[in-house]
Amino acid sequence: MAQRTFRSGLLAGALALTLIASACGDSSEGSDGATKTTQKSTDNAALDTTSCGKLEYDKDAPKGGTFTDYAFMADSGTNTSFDPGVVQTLNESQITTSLFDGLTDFDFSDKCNPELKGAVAESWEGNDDATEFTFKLKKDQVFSDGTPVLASSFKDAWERAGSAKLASPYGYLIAYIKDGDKLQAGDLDTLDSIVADDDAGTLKVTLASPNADFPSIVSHPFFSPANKKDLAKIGQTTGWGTKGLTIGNGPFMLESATTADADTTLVPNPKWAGNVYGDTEVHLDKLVFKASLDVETAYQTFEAGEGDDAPVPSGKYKDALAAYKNNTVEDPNVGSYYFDFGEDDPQVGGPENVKLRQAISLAIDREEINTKVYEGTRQISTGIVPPGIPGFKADLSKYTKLDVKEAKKLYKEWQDAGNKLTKPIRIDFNEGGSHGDVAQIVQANLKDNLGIDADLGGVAEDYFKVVAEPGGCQLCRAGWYADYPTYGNFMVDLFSKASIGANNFGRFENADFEKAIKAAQAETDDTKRGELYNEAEDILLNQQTATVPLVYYTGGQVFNDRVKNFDQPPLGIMLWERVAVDG
Amino acid sequence: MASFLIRRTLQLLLVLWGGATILFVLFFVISGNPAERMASGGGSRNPPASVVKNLEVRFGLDKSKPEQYKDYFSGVLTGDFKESFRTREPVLDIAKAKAPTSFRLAFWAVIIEATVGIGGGMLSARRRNSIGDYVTTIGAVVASAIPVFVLAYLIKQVTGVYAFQHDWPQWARFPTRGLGSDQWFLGVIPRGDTWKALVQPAFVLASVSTAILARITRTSMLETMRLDHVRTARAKGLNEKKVMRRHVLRNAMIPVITVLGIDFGTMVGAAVLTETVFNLGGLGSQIVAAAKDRDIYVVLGLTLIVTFVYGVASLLVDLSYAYFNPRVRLGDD
Repeated sequence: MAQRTFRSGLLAGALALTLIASACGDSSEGSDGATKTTQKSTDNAALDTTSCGKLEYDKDAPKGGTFTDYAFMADSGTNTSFDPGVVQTLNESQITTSLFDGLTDFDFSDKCNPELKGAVAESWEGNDDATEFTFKLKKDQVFSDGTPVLASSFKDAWERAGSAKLASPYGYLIAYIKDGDKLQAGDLDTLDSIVADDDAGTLKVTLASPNADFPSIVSHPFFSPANKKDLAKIGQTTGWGTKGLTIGNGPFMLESATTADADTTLVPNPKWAGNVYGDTEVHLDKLVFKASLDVETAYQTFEAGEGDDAPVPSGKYKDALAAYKNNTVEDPNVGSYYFDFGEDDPQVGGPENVKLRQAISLAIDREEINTKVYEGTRQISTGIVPPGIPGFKADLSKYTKLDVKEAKKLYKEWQDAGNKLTKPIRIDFNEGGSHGDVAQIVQANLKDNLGIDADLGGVAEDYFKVVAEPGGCQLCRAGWYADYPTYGNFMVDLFSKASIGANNFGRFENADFEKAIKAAQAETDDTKRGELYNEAEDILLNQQTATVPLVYYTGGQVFNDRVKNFDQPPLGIMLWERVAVDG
Repeated sequence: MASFLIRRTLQLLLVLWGGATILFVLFFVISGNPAERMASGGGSRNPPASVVKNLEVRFGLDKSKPEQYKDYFSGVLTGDFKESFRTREPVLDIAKAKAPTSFRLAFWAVIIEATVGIGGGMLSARRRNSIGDYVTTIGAVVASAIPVFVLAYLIKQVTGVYAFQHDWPQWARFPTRGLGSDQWFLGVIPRGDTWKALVQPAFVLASVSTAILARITRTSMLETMRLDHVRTARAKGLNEKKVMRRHVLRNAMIPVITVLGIDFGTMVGAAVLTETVFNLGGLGSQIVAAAKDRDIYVVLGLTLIVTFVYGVASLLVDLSYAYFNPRVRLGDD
């Protein structure tokens, strides 16, 4: 998890700007992991939606003590800021979410079925077409300095975060809100579409386009509140530590943070109002994030008994699991690893090549990839959307299992229709990590199972920019960590027409798919919305087979015996208020 | 002497400007758009155009390259080294945070290099073909053959991991990272637990250069011992200690001092592996991290510092020539 970066998304729906946020991209391979669940990698069969398990918590765990973390800042070269307006990586978000609570948050007590609840918001309601939401704030909510958390605390913070001057890497998220694109472009300083009534304690937000997931989206750190004194001091500048916004309303307060590669120390916030699980107290006296220059160093430090947790470096999972029974290596994360087909590619794209794409997907041995590359620690995909996302449907895809016989049959049918591969298929991947190893197995599978030649197309720099260009992707590697657990965070951000040129690397475009996701975005009933997204994913995976899901991500930390309640929710952000140490 | 110093100072300024200009061209002209790198979370996603544009404006990257060049160097002349694209910290603040660690580490590594390297080389030369010579020679070959990161990892594995897992006494365990409480006396003398944290990285950093210096010292001394004036000194009946001290060592030290000076400059700016494995966060590792992120102003600013240190070290080496060999006249061509 060390280097996961929030992924961007795009514009949404009708308006297109989508959004999305942060979903943490997967970029590097520091976060390999596996699933602790019943679903072991050896079985390529259907996922059980109950396999994520329950979030474990012992509220009677010891109080007090210092937790020294070596796991989440194990690649300090990626640190930028934990200011909620600009925070980029999942690692930095460990600090941000400890300092700030937003309007909403997810209760992951049942990891596969997260429930959206109010954090600062007591309740919310949307209009019929999901273009307007009004959040009612809880009373007596205060920042750690004692000043009240008001509706305007959110309005001010969001306008700052989306401003052109702050130049936040996630500034585009403001485009979910009406005229947010103008704020992002620097044409506006404030948004009339956000109406804060501090006396009534309400925040009314008008969206740029229908989006029933908006209450989920505001659980992202980007939408945290800002303390007025802090805002007056920091303004539209930012940086590490006290150079950014730090006075929050979360379970912890910042005690010290000098530079992005030094220690960051948090202490409990005595004025914290509690989380969506009903917890109101923090176990630890102190939480210290130790920055490391690389993952190996952090892990070796843990092995030497110098810390409470550490990331497991790639290639060391078996050793780590053997040595440390306490780990998150098997905890499911809401992230997906897959390959896109280039929709505009004459060899593999378009409706005439559906059977070829289906044959390729069936010819890939995901179990071999999991075993050889990830030491058997990941979970075999059954679709793009992973378990843990509301609406997830196990075994949705018909083409994510190894079935050589069916693959050959489909390939022959495609050939019999007069089609022929005139040159090897190019497998695109970003160099570094283990992506090349995955690509080699795919290459060998295609040759062995279908007799199809494939070339490896490693890209050293700006991979995602390269493959997002027209013609840049033929069969290209991709990965995605959810910013928030919504179906739309996968379907819209990764495969909508609006996200072509951004994270829709295959440039997939399908009228039926677009219709389905737009209907889903406007659907306010959670169950129906999930079903509509299921329909969209069915089009994507079965009718068009525009992408090849391979594995779902899992966690990747070890922790020592004195640590309690170190159970990682699928979004990857720890509930630090629950973590405790014994002795 | 004065003209020599003035000339060398001008040369150093020219090197600083030239080096920074080359880096500027390499990064800005050849290496693509730093704003895209920043917006993409280090290249892990494809950022929206609006974000890239805002970052370009924020850091002045929307201006033409000549304008950016002019802005940067006019800023440097007034002490403004710009700010990091990644953390938005002033480069000068980053330098202030990183440079002390690099200087201290390099200082102690050079002390080790000079002590062990020169001592071992002298021993080898004076007792040529003895057991001591063989041990020194073999040790030098082994030390120079082991990659620094391997040596660092193994040492940490033994004194940190193995020691912990086998309950070694505290005095026998060494920290695997950092500089402890990072306390210093007179800037370079470690206090408290800092000395214990410093020992391993300093030895690791010095390992290869010490081996090389031992070989250079041995060779240089053997060559000097064969010179006529040394033979004459012995013929005059001077005892061996005086011969070695007055006639061999001083002459043999010129190449040795040259290497030490170069090594110090290199260690300050390029101890990347040692800094990374021991998590010390000095200039070298910071420059590498910034280069990966195309954080150009950090690379430029810190490289200027390293180049300056290198230039000053070279100057001091040149000045020392006059001490070791009075026939050397500074300023002579």
